Amino acid sequence: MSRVALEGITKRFDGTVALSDLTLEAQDEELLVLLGPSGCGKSTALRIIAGLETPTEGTVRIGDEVVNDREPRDRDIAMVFQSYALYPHMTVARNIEFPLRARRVPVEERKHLIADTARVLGLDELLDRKPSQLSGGQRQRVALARALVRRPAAFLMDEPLSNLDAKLRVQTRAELVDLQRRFRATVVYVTHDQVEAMTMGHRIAILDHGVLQQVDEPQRVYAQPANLFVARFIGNPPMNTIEGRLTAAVDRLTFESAGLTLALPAPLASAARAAGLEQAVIGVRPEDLRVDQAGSISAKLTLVESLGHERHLILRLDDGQPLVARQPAEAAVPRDGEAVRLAAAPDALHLFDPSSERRVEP
Amino acid sequence: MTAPPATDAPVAPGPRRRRLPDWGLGYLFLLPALVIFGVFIFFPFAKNFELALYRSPPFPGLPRTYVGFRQITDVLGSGDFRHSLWTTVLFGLLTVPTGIALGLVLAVLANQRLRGVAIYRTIFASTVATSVAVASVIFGTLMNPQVGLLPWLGINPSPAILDNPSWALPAVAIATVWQNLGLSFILMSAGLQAVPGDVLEAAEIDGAGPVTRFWRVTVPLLSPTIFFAVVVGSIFAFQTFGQIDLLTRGGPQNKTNVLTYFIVTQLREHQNPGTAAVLSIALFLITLLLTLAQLRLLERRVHYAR
Repeated sequence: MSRVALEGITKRFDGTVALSDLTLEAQDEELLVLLGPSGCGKSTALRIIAGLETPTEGTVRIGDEVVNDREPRDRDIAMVFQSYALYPHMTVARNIEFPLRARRVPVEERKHLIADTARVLGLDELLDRKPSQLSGGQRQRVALARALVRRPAAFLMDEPLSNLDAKLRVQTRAELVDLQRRFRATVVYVTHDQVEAMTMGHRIAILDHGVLQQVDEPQRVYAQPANLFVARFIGNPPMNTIEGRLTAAVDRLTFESAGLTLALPAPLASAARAAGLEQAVIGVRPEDLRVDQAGSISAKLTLVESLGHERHLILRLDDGQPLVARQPAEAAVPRDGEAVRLAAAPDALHLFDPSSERRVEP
Repeated sequence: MTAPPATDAPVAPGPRRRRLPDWGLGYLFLLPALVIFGVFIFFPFAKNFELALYRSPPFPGLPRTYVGFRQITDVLGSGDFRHSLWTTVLFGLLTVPTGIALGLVLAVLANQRLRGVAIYRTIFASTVATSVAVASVIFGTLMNPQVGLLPWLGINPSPAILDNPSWALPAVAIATVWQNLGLSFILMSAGLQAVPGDVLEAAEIDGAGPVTRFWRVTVPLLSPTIFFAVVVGSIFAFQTFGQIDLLTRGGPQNKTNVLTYFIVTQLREHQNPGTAAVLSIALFLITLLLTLAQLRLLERRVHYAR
C-alpha cells in the first residue's frame, strides 16, 4: 500500500471551477474520507486520482511517483463505484477475474486469488451467478472483491454504501473498516454521509464548492470546526449558530443577541479582543444547551421532536433566529408555544468571525 | 384558480341513450386499419396461395389451368430458383454484417466527447434521409464508365463495374450498405448510449485497454442491439428490389437476379402470376425460417440487461 497525494489541484469544466487548489494527502494505510454536499467536488477529486479526469493544474502522486500522465490502468489503484459498475454479462467469478485477466495473471494464480477473495467476502456460493441475480448487498461485495483481488496500491471508493438500505449500510460500514485494517489498505473514501465519515475515517477532509474547508480527525472536526460551513455541516442536528455583537463590560466580554446575553469565558474573550471583533457568530451544539430557569437564553418553543431515546426541541429566538436543543427522553417536556429559558455550558461555546466565517481559536 | 370545467359537474339523469358495448367501440376504431391491411396485405397474401395452384397460359387472355402442386415443385426445383436464392443469400451476406460493422465503427467514433462531433453525427446519420432511388442514382453515376467518379480516378475495368458479372453484385451491395448505413449508425449509437459509462470506466481502471474494453464490455452490452439489427437487416436484404431494378436489372448474366427481382420479372415481363405467386410464398417462408433460426441460434448469445 502507498500514500496518495493531490498537490495544488485545480479542475475547471467549461468555465466552472470544480476544484480549486486542493492539496490533500492520504497517508499509507490511512482511510481518508472526502466529505461534502453534492457538487462540492469530492467525486471529481476521486476521479482525478483514478485518472478518469485530468486536472487543469496540479500534481497527483501515488506512492512516490507523479502519475499525471499515466492511464488509469497504469496507476495501480482500484475503484468501487456507487452503482458498483459490475459487468452485467459476466458471472461473479468472471467479474472478480476481470482485472486479473486484463493484467495477464496466469490462470492458476487467478483461481487462487478469486477463491481467496470470494472467501473473505463470503461470495463462495455466488460465483456462478450473474449480477442481476444478486441483492444490492451482494453486488456491493462483488464490487469490493473485484477491487481487492488485485491488491492495488490504493482503493478509491465513491459512495459505495449509498445504494444499500439503512440496516445493511451500518453492517457493511463496520465490515469495510475491518477489511481496511486487515489489508492495511490506503483508502480514499467519498461520501456525503457524515455518519459514515465520522465512524470510518481516520481523517475527514471536508469540501465545499471545490474548496477544502478542513482536514482533521473526526473528533477534532466535530469539536473544533474550522469555519461556519464545517460547524453547520457536521453534527445532527447541526450546530446552532447565532449572530450578534460583542459588548465590552468592565472586566469581561459579553455576546448579545435578541433575547440572550452570554458571558464569554476568559480565553475566548481574549481571543476575540485580539481579533478585534465587534460582530460575532456564536456556535453551540444542540447537546450543549439545556433547559434551565436561570439560563440566559430566552426562546419560544415551536416543536418537540421525540426520537425515543432523546428529544429535539425546536425553538426560535426573539428575533426569529432558529435554535435546536437536544434533551434526554427522561427530562420534563415543555409545551409548544411556551417561553423557555436555556443555558449553555461556557466551555461549549464556539466563536466565529462573521466576515471570514473562520473559527476564532481561544 | 379557475372554476372547474362544467363537464365535471354532476349531470341530471336524462333519457337513456343506447350505447355501443366496449368491444364494439374497439373494433370500430380498428376498422380503418383492418380495411387497409385487408385490401393491401391479407387479401393479396391469401390470393397468392390460390394463384400458385394455376398455371398461367403462354399468351395472356387464354384461360388458366389448374395444376395443383405441380407448378410449385416445378418452380422450386428449377435451376433459376436455386440460382436466385443463392444470389439473395450472397447479397445478404455481403450487406448485413458489413452494414452493422460499419455502423458500429462510426457510432463508436461519433460517441467520443470531441468538439464538433455533432457535425459528424449528422453526416453519418444523413443517409437515412435518402431513398433507395436516390442512392441508386448516386452510385449508378459514380460507377458509370463515361461520367463516373471511379473512371475519373482511373478505376475503370472493362466491362464497366455494373456490367461485370463478378463485380455487379458487390457493387449493388456497396450502394445498399451505404444507403442503410445511416439507420445502422443510429441504431448502434442508441445502443452505445445505453452502455453505462461507469462500467466502461471500471474496465479502464481494471486494466483493460481500448480494444479489450470494446470486445469484452461494449460489444456484449450492445448484443441486443446488434441482434435486432441482424434480424431486421436480414429481412430487408431478402426484400431488396429498388437498387437492383435501377442499377443492374438483374444482370449481367443473371448475377444480380435476387428473389424479389425474379418475382417481379415473372409478372412484368412474362405475365406469369402463377410462378410469381409460388416464388412469393417461397420468399415469405424462407424469410420466416431465417428469422426463426436467428431467434433460436443467435439469441442465446445475447445478453439482455436484467
